[in-house]
Amino acid sequence: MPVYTFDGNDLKIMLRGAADLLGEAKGEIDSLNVFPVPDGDTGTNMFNSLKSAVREAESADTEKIGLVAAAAARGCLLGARGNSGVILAQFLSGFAGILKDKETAAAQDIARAFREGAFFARQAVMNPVEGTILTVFRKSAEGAGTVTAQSDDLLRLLVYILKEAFLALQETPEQLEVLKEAGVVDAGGKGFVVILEGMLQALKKASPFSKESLSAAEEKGILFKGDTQFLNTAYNKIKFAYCTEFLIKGKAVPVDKIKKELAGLGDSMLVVGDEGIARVHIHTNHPGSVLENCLLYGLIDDIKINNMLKQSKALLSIPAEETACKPAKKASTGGESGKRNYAVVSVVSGDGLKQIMKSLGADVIVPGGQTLNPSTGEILNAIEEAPGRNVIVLPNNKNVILSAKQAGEASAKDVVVVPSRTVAQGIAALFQLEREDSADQAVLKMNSALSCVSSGEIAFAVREIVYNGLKINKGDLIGIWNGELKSAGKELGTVLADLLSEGVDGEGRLITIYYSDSVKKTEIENIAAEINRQHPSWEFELHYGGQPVYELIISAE
Amino acid sequence: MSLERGKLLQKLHIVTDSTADLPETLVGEYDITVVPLHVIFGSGESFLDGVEISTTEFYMRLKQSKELPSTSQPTPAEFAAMYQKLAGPGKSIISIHISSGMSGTVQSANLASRMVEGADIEVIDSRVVSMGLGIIVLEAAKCAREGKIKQEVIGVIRKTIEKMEIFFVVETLEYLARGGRIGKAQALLGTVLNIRPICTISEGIIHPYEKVRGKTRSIDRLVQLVSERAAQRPVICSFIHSADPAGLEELRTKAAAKLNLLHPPIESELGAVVGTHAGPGVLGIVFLPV
Repeated sequence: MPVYTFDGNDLKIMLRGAADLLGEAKGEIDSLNVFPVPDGDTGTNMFNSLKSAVREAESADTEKIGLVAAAAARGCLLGARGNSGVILAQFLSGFAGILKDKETAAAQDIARAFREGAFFARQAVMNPVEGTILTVFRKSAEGAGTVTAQSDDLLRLLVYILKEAFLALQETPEQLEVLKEAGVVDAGGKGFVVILEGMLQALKKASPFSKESLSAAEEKGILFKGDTQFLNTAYNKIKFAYCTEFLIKGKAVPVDKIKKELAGLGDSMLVVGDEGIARVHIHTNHPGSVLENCLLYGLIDDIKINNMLKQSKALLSIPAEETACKPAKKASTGGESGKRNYAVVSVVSGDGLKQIMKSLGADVIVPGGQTLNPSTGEILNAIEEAPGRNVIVLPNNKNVILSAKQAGEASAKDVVVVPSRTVAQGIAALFQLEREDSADQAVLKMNSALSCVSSGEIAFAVREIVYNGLKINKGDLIGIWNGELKSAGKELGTVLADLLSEGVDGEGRLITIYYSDSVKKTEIENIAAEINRQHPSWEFELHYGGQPVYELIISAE
Repeated sequence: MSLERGKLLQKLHIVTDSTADLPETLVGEYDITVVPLHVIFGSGESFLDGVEISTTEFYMRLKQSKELPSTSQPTPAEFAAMYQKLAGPGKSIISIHISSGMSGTVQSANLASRMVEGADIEVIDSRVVSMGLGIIVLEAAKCAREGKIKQEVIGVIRKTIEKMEIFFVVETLEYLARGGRIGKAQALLGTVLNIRPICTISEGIIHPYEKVRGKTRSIDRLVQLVSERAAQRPVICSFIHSADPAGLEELRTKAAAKLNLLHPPIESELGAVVGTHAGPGVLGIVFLPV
């Protein structure tokens, strides 16, 4: 049975289907990382980002596809984790942009939305590389254009898009040498294929597309298997998070028209007034859309937007991490914020590393790092929690930089991201902090500190690989210096010694080693002492880091 | 022979205190009078700095005893007794001491100078401590031996004070912090990483200058700082340390390679009183470009 239009409910069904399937496949996608360490966590990141998109789409109490798509895009952006999450969020923004104002979408619209999504995502990346998710976006969007020339059937369109995406994915190793060498396809591209497949599956299952089947699925609880915290009570009680109030001043404010337009955006709505002035009150999840809509009719004044979730949270003292609108947050406040002109938010995992960063002046720590990229929303929360207007963010991981920048843009505070790619860089940057500096001075110093430190990691290989001529077995220790695989073996001491002689040049270097829970203090002390005998001019400092994934994090300066 | 004669004829006496950390040989050679401060250990035992307790003994005790010793300035009476001994018809005294920003020693000396009737005593606040003070005292003593008159010598002293610079790195700020003189660097306390603050003395008090990580790098930075300040000029300089002969050797080697040293630098270990406030593991360079 051909399908000629999608409405908002259809999109909700598809997004859920996509999230479900991605949830199942995320482990597999994670293992597609190019490095034989869990170097990205693409599957998990995409899943968490999409989950947030679904959650937001769900809460849009409307059947208009434009509004559902906008909600999904917004949700994805707030929950975006890692580069892949941010890119997916950008795709959804472009996608939603085309569907804006539409109640339903035809095949032509969906094809255009895919194209716009692919374009948006590419724009978000500074140096787009072929053989990645961007290529898969582009090729599937191009395919979509071809098929709509022949048919208006949406199911057929989706099948075709999926096929094109799959073909593009298979080609990624040919486009990207690292993929070929590692014998894998691109992880992000794979994630997108899974999303498309999930959308199709959900459509097939849910046919005929109706509200009844949607709510039935909800009752049976099959929509979010194994993910119960996902829909939590506090969130369900308050359907619309933002109490939004303002005045519209114009020559002829059409009160009734505004009522109709806003009706789909929330509840507890009141629009009162005469032609010259009107007051609007509405509980909504999209105060921005409400304001934007009303801008058409005059000047907007006296704006008040309160987060009711936050208010009720304060009243009920529900921990912040349990509210849906403010996603998981375990940010903790640092001790000495003092009278500094700026606050610092730093992303790091591991008790030891957290303590080190706090002692160096990080005000708020966002838990996260390798394999646990925090979401844009989590970083945003930390920014809001940090004292003062000026906030400096240290992502401390290359996959967190984009989310940190997104969070910075989303905040009303003055946020600067100092793009630290590693924990070692983050510590070197924090080390520069002087209490009396202005925010600008601090940023300058921190930025220049980034290049003064080179760093490496030692971790267990998660699978067998030949890399840089090194044959590595699953479970072997591997040493990485400045992102390059340099050494491998079974003994921590040997792997570290080889790594340092490959990576560190010059005399009089300070080598700082942060060890994980699984490394004994005496073990690493003996190893360092042994290497010190070989390189007497190097100085070693050993600290407990407690970080996940890496047995050792090493910096040389 | 000429030295002996100079001593006999010398009309100008140079007095300092034990915080100058001057090596004993130089004290003897230049006939400098050193008034000791006091070091008091937790048990209540009090020692005259450098007289009743040597640096070696002190750092050993510092390591062993749980309580940090305290120090006290010489009493005016102690100064007065010394001035009384040196004063006499036609004789003058220049008494140069630890910065008044760090100790009340100058006050004691000032009071004492008024207690000794008819004596010609000039008390000078050096604004520095340890070999910073030591070099000033030595310059003064050299002038005195050359037979320069008091006003001339005071002029030399003032000039030397002006040009004097000190950079030193401490192993820990704990000792300095207990004296409460490094408020600005309080934030560095409690940092988990091994941070070596480089400090300087200006306007009579200690200021943290910058932070460095790692001992080797801190020594490199010390030498670099002096080399930048000297800007190719020859320097009179002295190396100071506390209970760290290995560090001293590294400093000596690196400085010799980078600096234009006018004389072989005087090497000195911080005495008990300065050591009480700076702790072990201090390395520093006192210098003045010429």
